[in-house]
Amino acid sequence: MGKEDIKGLFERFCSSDKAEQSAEEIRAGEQLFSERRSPEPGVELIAEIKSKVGRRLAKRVRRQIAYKAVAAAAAVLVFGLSIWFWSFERVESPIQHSISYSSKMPMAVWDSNDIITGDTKLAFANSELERIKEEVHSAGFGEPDIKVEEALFKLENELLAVNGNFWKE
Amino acid sequence: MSDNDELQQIIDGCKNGSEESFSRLVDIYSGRCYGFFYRLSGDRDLSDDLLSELFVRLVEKISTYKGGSFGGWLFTTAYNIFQDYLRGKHRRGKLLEGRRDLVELEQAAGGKDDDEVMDELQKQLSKLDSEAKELILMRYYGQLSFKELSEARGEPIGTVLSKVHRGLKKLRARMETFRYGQRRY
Repeated sequence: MGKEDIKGLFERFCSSDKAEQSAEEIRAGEQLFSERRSPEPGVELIAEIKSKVGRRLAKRVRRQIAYKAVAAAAAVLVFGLSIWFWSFERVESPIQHSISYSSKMPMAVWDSNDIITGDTKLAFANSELERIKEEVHSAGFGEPDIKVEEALFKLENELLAVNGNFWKE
Repeated sequence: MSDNDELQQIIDGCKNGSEESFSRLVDIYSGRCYGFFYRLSGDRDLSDDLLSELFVRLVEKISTYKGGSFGGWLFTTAYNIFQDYLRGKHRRGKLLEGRRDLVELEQAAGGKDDDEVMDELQKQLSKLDSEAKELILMRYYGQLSFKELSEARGEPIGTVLSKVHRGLKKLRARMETFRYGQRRY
């Protein structure tokens, strides 16, 4: 305030002479306050203010401690709840299990009503059974060019082979 | 260490909750803030209350000071406290009563000592428009430059300069008239 160039400030807005006069008027106006000093606060008042400030500071510190304690408790609660939800999801959720089991089944089973066309292994087993069925049928009707005993032996072997292959796979 | 560095150290201490730093802040600013409140209200008891309220409120509010002119920030806070006071209907009645008492006291007084001249300044100051008075008092008691004052008020420097100049010119003219009247009678 004291070192401020008031005249320079006024010169931005008016002539140098006018700026000089205005700066002088400001100085003279402020001189009124210096000549007539306002009353000072009493010593008791200052002591009382300091005491009040001290009490307020102590309250502020207590409040900060309380906020920190509440924040820590809230953090523990949130952590505990998140752990509880996580474990609940792992143990109880039936959705998780159905997804994992169902994913092991061929997609064709879900896409088609005919499960044999959707699974190559089942299709192979099915074709074998169809062929054996035909051979049994032809043996049963006693077709002249097939010997019955030979056919039954062959059929038995094939059934064993199909059975073995099926369970192997 | 410069005055600014020392003040900054005190402010940092206050932000960290140091009672000693607050005590130093009270020592530095209580006189000027008290004068500011007294010139605004014309009431010593009220100035006591407002000064107390200012420093107690600073305990919570000091963390909102983010740099710049501390004087500008402090005296803006002080003025806001005065405005809060005026907004209270109950207390406003008391203030007007207090002012009427002050004027009656001045009129009744026969002697023309220094105290009376001081009260005359108070009386003439109260006749200024509130904005000019506020700016003049903030600048004088806050020891603010026009740049700091314009930043604190959020107004262009030219506007602030013009308002303070007009206000002080008017105040001086009224005080001269008062002195002239005293010499005549």
